[in-house]
Amino acid sequence: MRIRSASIRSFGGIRDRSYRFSDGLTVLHGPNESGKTTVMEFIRSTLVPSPKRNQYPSREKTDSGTLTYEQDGEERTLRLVQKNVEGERPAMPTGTDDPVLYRSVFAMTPSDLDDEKVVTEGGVRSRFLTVPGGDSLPPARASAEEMWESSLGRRSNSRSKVLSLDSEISSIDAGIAESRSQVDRYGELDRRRSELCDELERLNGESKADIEAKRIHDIYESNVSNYDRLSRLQKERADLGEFVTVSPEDEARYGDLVSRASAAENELEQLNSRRQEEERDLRGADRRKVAARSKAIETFPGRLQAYKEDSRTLRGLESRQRAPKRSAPVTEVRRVRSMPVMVLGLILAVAGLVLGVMYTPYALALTAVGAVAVVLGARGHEVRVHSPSPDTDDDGTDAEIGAVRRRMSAFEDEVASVMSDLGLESYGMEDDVECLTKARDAAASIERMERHVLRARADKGDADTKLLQFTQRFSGKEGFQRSLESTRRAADIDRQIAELRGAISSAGLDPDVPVCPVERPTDSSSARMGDVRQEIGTIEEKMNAILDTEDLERMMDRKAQLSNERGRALEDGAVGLLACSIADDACEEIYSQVQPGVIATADRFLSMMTDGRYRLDTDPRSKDLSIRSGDEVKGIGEWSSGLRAQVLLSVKLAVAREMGEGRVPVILDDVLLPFDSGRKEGALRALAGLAGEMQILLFTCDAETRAIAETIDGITVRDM
Amino acid sequence: MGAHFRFVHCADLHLGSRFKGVSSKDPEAGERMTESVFQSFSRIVDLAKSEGADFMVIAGDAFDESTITPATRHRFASELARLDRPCFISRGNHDPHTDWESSIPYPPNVHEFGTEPEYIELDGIDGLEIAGVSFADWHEERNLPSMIQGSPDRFTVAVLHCDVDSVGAQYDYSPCRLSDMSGRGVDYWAIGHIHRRAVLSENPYVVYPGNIQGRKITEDGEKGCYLVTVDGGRVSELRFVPTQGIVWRDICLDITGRTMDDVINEARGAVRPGEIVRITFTGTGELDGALRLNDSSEYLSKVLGCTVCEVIIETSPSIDMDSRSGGSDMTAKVIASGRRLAASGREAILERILANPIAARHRDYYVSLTDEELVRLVERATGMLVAGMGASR
Repeated sequence: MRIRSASIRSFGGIRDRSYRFSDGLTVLHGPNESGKTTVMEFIRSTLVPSPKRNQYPSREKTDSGTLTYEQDGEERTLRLVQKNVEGERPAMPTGTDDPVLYRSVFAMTPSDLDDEKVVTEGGVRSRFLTVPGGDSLPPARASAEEMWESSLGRRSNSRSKVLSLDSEISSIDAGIAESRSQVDRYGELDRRRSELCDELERLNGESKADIEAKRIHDIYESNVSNYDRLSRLQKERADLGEFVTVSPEDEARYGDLVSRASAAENELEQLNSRRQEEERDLRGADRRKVAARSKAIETFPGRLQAYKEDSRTLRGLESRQRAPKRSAPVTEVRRVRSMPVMVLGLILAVAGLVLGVMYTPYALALTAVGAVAVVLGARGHEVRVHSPSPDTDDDGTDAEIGAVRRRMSAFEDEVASVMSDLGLESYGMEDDVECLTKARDAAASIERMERHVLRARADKGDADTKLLQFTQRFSGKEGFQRSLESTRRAADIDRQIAELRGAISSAGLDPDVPVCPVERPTDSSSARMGDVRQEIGTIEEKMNAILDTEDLERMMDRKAQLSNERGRALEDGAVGLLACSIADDACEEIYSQVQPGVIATADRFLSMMTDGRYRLDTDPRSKDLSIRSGDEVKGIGEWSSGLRAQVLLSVKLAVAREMGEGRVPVILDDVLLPFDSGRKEGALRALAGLAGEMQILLFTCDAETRAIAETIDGITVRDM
Repeated sequence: MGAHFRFVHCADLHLGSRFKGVSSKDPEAGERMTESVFQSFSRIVDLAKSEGADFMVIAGDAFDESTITPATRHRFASELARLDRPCFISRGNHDPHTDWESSIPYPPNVHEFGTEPEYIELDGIDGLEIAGVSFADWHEERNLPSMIQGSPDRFTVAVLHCDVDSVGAQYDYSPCRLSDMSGRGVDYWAIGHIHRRAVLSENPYVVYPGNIQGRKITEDGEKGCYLVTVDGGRVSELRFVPTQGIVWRDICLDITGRTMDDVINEARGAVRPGEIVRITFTGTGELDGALRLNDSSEYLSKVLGCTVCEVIIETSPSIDMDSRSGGSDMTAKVIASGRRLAASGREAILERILANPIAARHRDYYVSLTDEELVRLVERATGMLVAGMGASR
């Protein structure tokens, strides 16, 4: 494809300009600011539109122009209308129609000739800029590189997934090892535990003996007070000394005897006091004398009645002699109030009432009783009253009076004689009779009593004697009392002693041996047992902890997971490495395929540029370029800047030639500027030669370039 | 003969072993899984009781020496006591001798075989003989089956841990040949060591019951024990009974021309909640980029109600890799370069990885990967680059 012409209506700062190009090398000369860059951009962006923003010059809707090109013998036109290119685009070799690629390969600026990286950097990156699709590889390769760096680490001490996983795994391994070493102790712990259990059993035996001893000792301690009391009681008992025991029969007998003696005594006393009473009635008279008159006295009460009657008769007779007659006797029934009962009743009622306020119900009962008494008292009781009987006549009265008087005085005399016989004072008939009767009764009674008294005395004497005999054994009554007390005390003490002995014996001790039968035990066994038990407990805890393997299992699980992740990380790292390696291989290949052509062509161009002075060489092993001059070989470090410019220009042109297959024009933006005059000419000649294989447009503002160009055949020079 | 009895044959219990295939984001999952091994054995004990088994045999690897604790042994002993009928155990390569095992003895109904063959008859069952021998150490060079000679007039059950017709094992686990097992008077070889159940022969019976609970994706499917019924001196029934609590499942999903929802629906039909799943994505489509650039396992776990232990991406992007690989642009070169490396073999791949000094420190890990795993790493690397390049466009 060859560009024929470009016609710009409006683009950037250019208005209505047209340019025509030859099929070979066209040098377009114009001063600065004449729109070289704009025209180049127009051509480029019409051929291979770029979606890039911020392009120079900035695109306007008013942009318009045409580009005419020839391909396969046919002429075609592309139109730029309102930022769009219409028309049939030229066919270009694979990949070269990528805007970025196109611009980097088929367009050159002076700065491109400064950039050694193209050739020095076995530089994959720079190679890409010359390879189709190459620029998409760097980011992909960069991700691959990032992948293996993050997984494996760039350097041996770099942070990486594998490194951190490894460290986590090794700390878990340490934990697992620690756990396992604990686990391995299980058997050891079990054996130790058996040993300790045996020891415990042995200690247990010892301790049982100790416990028994302690038990006995404790019992002894608690019985010490019993022992004390026992000994005190025994002493007390001994202190009682010798005494005659009073048996219960003795006691009973004594009591019996005492009571009999006392009964006899009482009786005697009673008899004596009665006798005294009776003797009072005797009033000093001799009992025997009284007894001698007993018969006579016996008749006196009866005769006294007669005497009294006689007296009344006499009085009656005497009064009849003096007084009138009377009426018939009357029996009246009168009610007599009983004042005492009434008063009592009232008192009771009042008391009852008062108490009733304080203490029911007895008080109420009292009140009721009182009330009843009041009522009864008020009603009184019947009394029969006799009135005297009617009188009798008074005729025979005097004779009667005399008989009566005689009778009466006979009686009076008899009584008086008896009285004086007995030596008693007389106080009147009634009294005397009464007195004599009493005396008579008393004498009889005393007589009777004599027998009783004698008997009572005998009894008493007997009882006393028996008592005395009885108490002789005990040295008398006091002796008996003492013995009795001693006996009782002794019995009480004995009982207490027996109780204490019983208590002590049932506690398992010997009452007669007041010391502890066993030695106080030491506590060593039980202390050691406590220790052993504790140790066993600790061991069992440890054994159980070992059986509780939750932590260990979690660690093992975590380790398995981490190992898995580690495998993945290693594989990711490998994939990254392989991807980089594959990318490098691909680049190698593509470069090696492209390169020979490129180098050969570049060599040709360099030779042309330097009049055959310099040739291009590559060391296939190192891929570095070097320049040969005769036998002299100069590596990159030895190139002058001018030589370098020539080399780079040659190489880049060669690359363009290879990639574009000669079908894509190269647009150069004043690339000869860095060249000195000599080199300029060489370069122009080389370019002219190359232009036979592909169209070259060289834009320049350099007058020298233009001048030299005009001198060389095959170069078309145009003004801008 | 005429012996009539029934027994349970299990092995490779690996009680207490840990699960490695789970994410640390779900710490309870690990606990649940370890517990599931115990529960599986518990179900085996229940089975023995409910089916009226006369005895049980355990052919080795009851434990896992890296995780054994007194608590594990204690729990095992309790279950054996609950079994309440004779149980015969032979030790395998994962059954270590510990200092404390005598402190936690097995109940009286359990007999553990010594390191020399023993022959035991059971009271109440005529015509039966149980033979067995244990590993002396964690590796066993002796050919244990060839040490057993059963009585011809009894039905002989031999209980031992061994590796039949093994190829290329690094250490010896009583290696032997299947041919060693005939003509020894043994009617039923109750063996253990291989975790995938297999009936290697029926005359005589040579049976690996497999382990009782899968612990990684390679131990997928149902796990359990065998219930063996013998009538008239011959095996009348050999029945596998699954007792696992958690099933591992390995599924493959094609993303070609489908959306994430489609794919998830298909996944739902292939798994049951509570399972542990490894998903391999294959096919070509737009999901390739999304799958490669994000870790989808957590999302898939939630959505499917399972634990997705691993997601393998074997998909390719919507671009036509084949035609692209022929092209001359960067992507093509990358694809071609990746393919070349993938095909270059284990050593070449390892060399690339171990060229990095940090990676070289973890040599052991990389060397332990299988060929397929290494190739998968290369494919992941290629896919990642291509996706990255496509994404930046």
